[in-house]
Amino acid sequence: MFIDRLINQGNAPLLEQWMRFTEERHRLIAQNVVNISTPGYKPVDLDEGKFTAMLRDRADARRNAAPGRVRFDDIGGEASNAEHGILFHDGQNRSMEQLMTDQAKNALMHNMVVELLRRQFSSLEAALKERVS
Amino acid sequence: MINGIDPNFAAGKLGGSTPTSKPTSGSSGFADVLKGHIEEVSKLQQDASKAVEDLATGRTENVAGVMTAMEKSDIAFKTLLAIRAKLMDAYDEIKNIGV
Repeated sequence: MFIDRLINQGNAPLLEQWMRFTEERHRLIAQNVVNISTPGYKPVDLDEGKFTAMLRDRADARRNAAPGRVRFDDIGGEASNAEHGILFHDGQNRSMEQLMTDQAKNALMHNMVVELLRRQFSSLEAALKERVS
Repeated sequence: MINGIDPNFAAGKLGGSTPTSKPTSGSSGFADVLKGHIEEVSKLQQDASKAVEDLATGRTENVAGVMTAMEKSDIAFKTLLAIRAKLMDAYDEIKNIGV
């Protein structure tokens, strides 16, 4: 319990969920790229707006709750068919440009979340070591 | 106009006054200064934490601001740690002085 609270203090749980979201989204984008020539395939994507709204609600609930009571483990992205782009005759609404843009944006976001989480843990590590690294 | 030197100017400092002068009520001791710095570091950490939460929950998109706030709090915390380490070193040194 003590270790759990130590590790999951501050924004670590939020960032962890965000990292899982970007990881899952990256997987879906890769799947969309692989199936770019598959007739009838509908690209799938995660809704970032819904995810951040869920995260926001949970963070607001945490503010008024006891420490460690509100958890973020169950928050995830909801996969849905991406409806942007032109619908081709084979039933696909492929857009390689859109996919590549999404992929680049998602990768940047993932790197940023990893960096934020790394910094948070490095501060904790410095406090435990009692020395500046 | 140049004023003449007051002959009693340094008299108090050179031993004229009592050596055990008490600090006035308005002055702050070392403990207060240290406490103030700890509070300042704590405030910076809270600000950084709030900035990250706002970024994660979509309340802000100011990535540069968040990174700057995190870096500021990190530097402040490491400075405090360095001061603490120096104080502990000084304490150890005093502890080892033979009487």
